[in-house]
Amino acid sequence: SVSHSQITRLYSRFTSLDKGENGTLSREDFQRIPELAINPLGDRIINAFFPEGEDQVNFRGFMRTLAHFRPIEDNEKNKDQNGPEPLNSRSNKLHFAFRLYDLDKDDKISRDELLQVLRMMVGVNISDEQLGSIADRTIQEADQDGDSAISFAEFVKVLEKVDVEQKMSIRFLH
Amino acid sequence: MVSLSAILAVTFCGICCKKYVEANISQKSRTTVKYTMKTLASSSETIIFMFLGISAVDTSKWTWDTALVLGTLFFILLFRAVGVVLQTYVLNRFRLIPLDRIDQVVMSYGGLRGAVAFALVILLDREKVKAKDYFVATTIVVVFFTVIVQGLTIKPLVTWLKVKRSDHHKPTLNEELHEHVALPPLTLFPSLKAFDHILAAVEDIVGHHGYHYWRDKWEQFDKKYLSQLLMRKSAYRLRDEIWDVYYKLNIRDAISFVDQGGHVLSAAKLALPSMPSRTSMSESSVTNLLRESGSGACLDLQVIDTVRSRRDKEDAAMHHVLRGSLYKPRRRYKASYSRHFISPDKQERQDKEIFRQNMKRRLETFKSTKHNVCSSKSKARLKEKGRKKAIPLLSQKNISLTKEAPNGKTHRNVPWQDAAPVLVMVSSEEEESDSSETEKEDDEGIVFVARATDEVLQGKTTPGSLDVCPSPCIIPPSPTLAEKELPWKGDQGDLAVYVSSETTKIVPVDMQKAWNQSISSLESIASPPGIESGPQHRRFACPVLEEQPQSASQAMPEQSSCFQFPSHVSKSGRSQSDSSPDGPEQQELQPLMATEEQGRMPPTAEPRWLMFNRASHL
Repeated sequence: SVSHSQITRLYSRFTSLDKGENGTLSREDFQRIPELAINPLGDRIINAFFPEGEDQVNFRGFMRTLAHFRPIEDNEKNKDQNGPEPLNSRSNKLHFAFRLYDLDKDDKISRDELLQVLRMMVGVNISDEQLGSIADRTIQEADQDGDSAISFAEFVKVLEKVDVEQKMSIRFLH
Repeated sequence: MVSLSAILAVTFCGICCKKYVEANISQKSRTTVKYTMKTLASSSETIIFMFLGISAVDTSKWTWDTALVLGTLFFILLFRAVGVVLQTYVLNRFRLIPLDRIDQVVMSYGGLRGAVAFALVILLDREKVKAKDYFVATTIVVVFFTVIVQGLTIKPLVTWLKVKRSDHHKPTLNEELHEHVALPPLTLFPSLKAFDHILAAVEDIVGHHGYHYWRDKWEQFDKKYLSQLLMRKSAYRLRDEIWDVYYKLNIRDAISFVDQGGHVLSAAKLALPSMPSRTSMSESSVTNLLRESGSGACLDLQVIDTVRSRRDKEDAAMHHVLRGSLYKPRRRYKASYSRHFISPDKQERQDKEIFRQNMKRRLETFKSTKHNVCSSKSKARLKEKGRKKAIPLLSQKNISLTKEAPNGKTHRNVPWQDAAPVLVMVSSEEEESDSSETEKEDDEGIVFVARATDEVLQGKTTPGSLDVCPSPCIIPPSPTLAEKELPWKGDQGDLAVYVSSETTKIVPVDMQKAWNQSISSLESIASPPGIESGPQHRRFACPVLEEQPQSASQAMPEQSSCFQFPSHVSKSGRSQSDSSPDGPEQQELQPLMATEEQGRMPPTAEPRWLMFNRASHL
């Protein structure tokens, strides 16, 4: 599904990031990418690459995470109905995004987590109270089962009209 | 002489030389030139259109040929469309979001011909080109047609085609709309923006945009040869200009901060970027959702409480607030350049803010995870485009106070010289609230905060190539310290101290390295988004500090105007005055340093890494 040239390209990128030359990337390697430092969600995305509790990611893991961002192709909709969903399906993409919000991995976005993300993405002009009320309203609107947290299903529902496939896809240049 | 077009020659000259010219002149000249050029451009355009109009009624200038004119009109439309289609076909192979039919239609319809065409045709030599008059007539008609007909009708066309536009008035639209339609859930907003950020981040991780490779190559070539030829040495002090701006920004911040009486956040009264986002989709998509979900909205209507009016207002307010304040994802390409407006570079402020917060968070994570590790460090914060946050400059009054401070507390001095630049927190008189910091001195002028455990200090060995970035920015304090931007005491009038208040942080060694690298590489990003700065900014960031216990006074600025960070601690005997003349030199060295690999800290290369020597400025 991923072409050979793309893999090669990604591998060369992987090795160029991997300054320690030990075949794995650590967090510092990611942090070395300058643009990430000015991306409000940069750190979280970096964390998303690392599997639970580990500090190193090998190429396979790197690819796995990046595979979430492949554009969805039409022919994929036909095959593999029975097998596990391809990594870049819409639901998996949404799940990826959900995991960025949900730090403690309880499958819910609590008010605090939402607040944190909002704070990260919003400038300093907004006071905490305002942000808090925004978060409250957000949860109110999205929350359907009344647990004052947003579960994955609710998250999906909110974003059902958004063209997630396009927003979370990167065309890897050949 | 060569009979080539003078106009195009001038155009290309402008394109190529802009960078060097800007580097070689002072900031005031640059501003003057910029505004002068804009004025000239506007007036020239007016003149040429006047000339066009006059020529149109002056029959001696042109000769009418119906077939030629009509044929030309038809063909320009046709060939423009053909050109657009062909090129988009090629481009779509490389774009994630292909340009669809509607975009192509708009692009081909939007081909306005104007002043340049007319100027060129008027300049034709009648001797050489006998048919000049025909050309002039045709061109006049074409210009009129495209500007008037196409220009006026393109807006209705666009609305008719329901093209997504970057919108500036959406809040009001929403406010009207939401009386009839349910506002999309607030969750949407941040999520959409989040997606943009995520995408940008992953793209960066992947190293997307391979063509940047060529751009980098060009930049390197340019830096190595061209810049050396064409720019003055002092042009490398391009940063000075940036510091000026930064300086002014900080003054403004400080003033506003003081005015606010110390509310932390208000100090950062930086205008958040309002540039259209990279894809206008995220903003307009909400409105699109509204539009497209017209029918769906009706269902919602039934669900809506009638009592919602007040909440709706809150909603609208929140939407407005959120939309205005969410960080825009990084733009890859500079927005279009308008002849009539010069937009300040707000992206950089956003970058600065985000960087600051990110570093803060990183430090906090480290702090929490490696609680007992012993190094104190402060990080420089660098802005992407090379804006460096100025090092704190201490005013004279403060200096004297600070001098006393360190002397009395050797244990504090050690870490400072030890590895990290110390964070000096200057607080204004109103500020003295940080009593939570035990080590803080409540001196009137300076609050010297160095937080380091003793073990750290003593136990720390010279980390060899540990590079510390004494330069600017300092980063996040421990939770106990409120983060503030403290105003300086401008009693000297021209000295400003800006400190991002922080304490020394305890950060593990390896983190520091990575950090430095990231900071330094931040600097030297040959950023895809149109770089204005000339020479790459070199790493201010990474000086090498050698730990040698020294008297703190060395670290303290002796000169009134500059505060030079512990870097000179590393070399004993460097005095401040030394660094002054060396400053420019160093800065020259920096670009050269840049060519070294990013990953490697220049080994002890720059003893005095002092970044910002403001003496010359003040």
